[in-house]
Amino acid sequence: MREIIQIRLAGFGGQGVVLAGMLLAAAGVKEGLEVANSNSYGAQARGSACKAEVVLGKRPIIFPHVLTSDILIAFSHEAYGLFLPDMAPEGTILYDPYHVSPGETGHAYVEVPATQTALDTFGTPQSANIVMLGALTELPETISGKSMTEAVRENSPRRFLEANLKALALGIALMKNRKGSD
Amino acid sequence: MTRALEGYIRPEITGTPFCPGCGHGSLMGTILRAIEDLGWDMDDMLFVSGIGCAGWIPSPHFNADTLHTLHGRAIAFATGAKLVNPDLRVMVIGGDGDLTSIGGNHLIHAARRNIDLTVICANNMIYGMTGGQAASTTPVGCFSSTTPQGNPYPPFDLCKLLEGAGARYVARFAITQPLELREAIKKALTLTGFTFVEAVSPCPTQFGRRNRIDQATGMIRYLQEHCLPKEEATGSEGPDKIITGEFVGA
Amino acid sequence: MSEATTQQVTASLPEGRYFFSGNEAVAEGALSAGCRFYGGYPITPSSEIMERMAARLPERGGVFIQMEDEIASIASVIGASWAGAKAMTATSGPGISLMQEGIGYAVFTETPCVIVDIQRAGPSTGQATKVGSGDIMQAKWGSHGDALPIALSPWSVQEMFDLTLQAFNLAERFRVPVYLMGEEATAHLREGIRVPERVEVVERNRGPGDPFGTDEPDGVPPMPAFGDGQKLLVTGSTHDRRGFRKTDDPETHRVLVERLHKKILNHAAEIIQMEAYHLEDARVGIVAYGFTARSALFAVNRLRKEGLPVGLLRLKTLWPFPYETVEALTGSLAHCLTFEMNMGQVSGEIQKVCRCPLSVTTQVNGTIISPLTIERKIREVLS
Ligand code: SF4
Repeated sequence: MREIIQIRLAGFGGQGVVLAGMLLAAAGVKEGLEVANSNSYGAQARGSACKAEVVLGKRPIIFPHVLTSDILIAFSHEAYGLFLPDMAPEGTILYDPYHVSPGETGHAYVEVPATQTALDTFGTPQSANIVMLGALTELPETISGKSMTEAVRENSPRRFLEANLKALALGIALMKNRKGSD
Repeated sequence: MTRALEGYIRPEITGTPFCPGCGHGSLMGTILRAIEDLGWDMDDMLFVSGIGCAGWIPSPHFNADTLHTLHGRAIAFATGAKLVNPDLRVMVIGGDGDLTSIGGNHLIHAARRNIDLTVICANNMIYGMTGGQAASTTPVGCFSSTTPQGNPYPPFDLCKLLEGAGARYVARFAITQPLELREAIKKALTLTGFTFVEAVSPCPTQFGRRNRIDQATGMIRYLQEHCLPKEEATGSEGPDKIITGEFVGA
Repeated sequence: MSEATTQQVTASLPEGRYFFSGNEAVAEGALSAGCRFYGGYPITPSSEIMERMAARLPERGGVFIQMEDEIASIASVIGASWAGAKAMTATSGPGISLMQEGIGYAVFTETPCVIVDIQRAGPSTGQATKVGSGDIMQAKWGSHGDALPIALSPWSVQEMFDLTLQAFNLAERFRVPVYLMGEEATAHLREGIRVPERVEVVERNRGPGDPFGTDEPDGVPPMPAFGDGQKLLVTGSTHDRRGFRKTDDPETHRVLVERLHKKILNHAAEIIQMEAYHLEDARVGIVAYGFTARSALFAVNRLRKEGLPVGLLRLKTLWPFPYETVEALTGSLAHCLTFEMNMGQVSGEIQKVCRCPLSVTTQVNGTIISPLTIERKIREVLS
């Protein structure tokens, strides 16, 4: 992994963006990394822009917020547009095609049909955030699937644990299958 | 103070600061006699008071741990001490302005939580120490330095207030009823939970003088004339009557 | 005179790395320090401290109570402290305002206690969920009369743990209220922190001895507890060594108020903590504290890579203020810069002793000061 990776997760309220950021950072701790995780919400609790930031470092993190994101995880088109200008030129954007129609920007784009997968499997879009985290673990130089699974296991309420682990596995599988078909 | 109670007073104390005819000296003796009757060791007791003439009843006089706090806050201080050391027998002593006006919120919440404290409210129906201003307990029409035309607002019925807030024991007696008052204080001390005794206490200096009740003896007579045991009350008494008795937990 | 004692005890959690928010770390720091009483009232952005204490304190044999307001909270804390417990509360600016009379009482009665202020953007209700750092002066001057509490400024989740623990130790050592001046940005930040196996804690000196006076003009008297049989007389009125009111005696008042100052100021070297970064050969120096110091260090490191002679003094202790260090430092600088999420509260203290030109940048929009802002200001000064 690089010395420091700055990751931004953004969408609208109710998509579990904040939880996803927290799980990602918790997985970073499992990995033995330094982590910093912060959030900001829109004015209303639901339905407005919502952002989580995770900084992963091999050494103590001096400034704990994201300045330029190496990875943007876009759960909504609005969030995608809002945070695109802060992307590192060589950065990667994971997006959910259910909500986001990406443009031509020169960044690496990874399509993750997280919402559709969640709808197909659980009948609700609620686990899309966890599916997305699964997909993230398959990117090079991020968090391992093992650490992420541990973080999800430790931080899920018991009644959601099974579904969350399944969603995570689905996200991982989405990416594995894609690699196979490339 | 009789010599019999000397052990309950700090040896350095040579007198009290109360005005002649003030009820607080008498209340002080009644509280100590209640403790003596119970045979309690003053080393097990903590007295907490706030600001105002009645706050001086325990501090610095009582020969025990005493915490003389801020105006209105005695009950909140006492709550912290009692929760940390439940073996302490904690009594809060304060005036009506202190405990029921600026400190009213703490009073009702401690009663609601049923914290194991005994609160003695010396009610003289006025702010004594600060110069005779109207209190939340001043009767309608009474004169004070801030109600020169007579108090337009009705007072709290403290016992009803405490009953509503959930106190474990609630009683009211005047210092002109020393035996009943002593028994009520003993009961309040021995019951577990939040117990409240309103001790109606004359303030000749600030209340009496402004309401043309001349001299200390006039205030005593006023109390004797206006106090009515709740057993004799019909419910149709005027607002100037002070109904006494045990209202909760008798 | 016997002194407070220092002991090694096991921390509140097994040794290891934890992923905590700043507020959670405050609670564990307090528990590790031996906090046995929490009295508080909910307020954003501090409430998570209270919630964690509500769950954790009873597990560890302590007492938690949600009081009816902040005035009652600080009062309960002081009562608890005199009953022998290490005690704390946590709140934000509006609550600190309400607590000021009680904090002054704690200063004057020499009651150890810890007050955590998770600062938000004020004045008044302000931006209740947004960051600010506007309570620094209130910590020093909020209560009437000349009070001198101690105030610490953490910059990370790790320090929310470490400095809360230290706050208790300082409170017990000096018998004084100690503020932890947190900020929303650190309170809600989550980071990995290390909880050591053992921590060093200070236990108060319970006497015997006069609880309110010492032979030395800067001493810390012993503090017995209620129930120890000492027949304590505690009052917020001017009092002699034993606690008796002496409200007409000018000398008693002078000796007491001066001792309360000297017991802190004469031990400032023991209390004050700070960190210097790249200051040895710096021409331009920043003085910063709290979250802002992280932005400042980021900017300084970046400019150092370009070979620019910049450095940072980070204040971990805000009160007592390190005037001597700042004076010496600014004597060697060509330019000093400050950055604050208030209208320049600490900058005013620096101004008192600053020996070089001082540029003050303030930001009161409810957001943190970006490293980019700091970098730009430094370049302006250097150009
Ligand atoms: S002012 Fe009134 S209450 Fe105060 S001491 Fe004098 S008589 Fe008593």
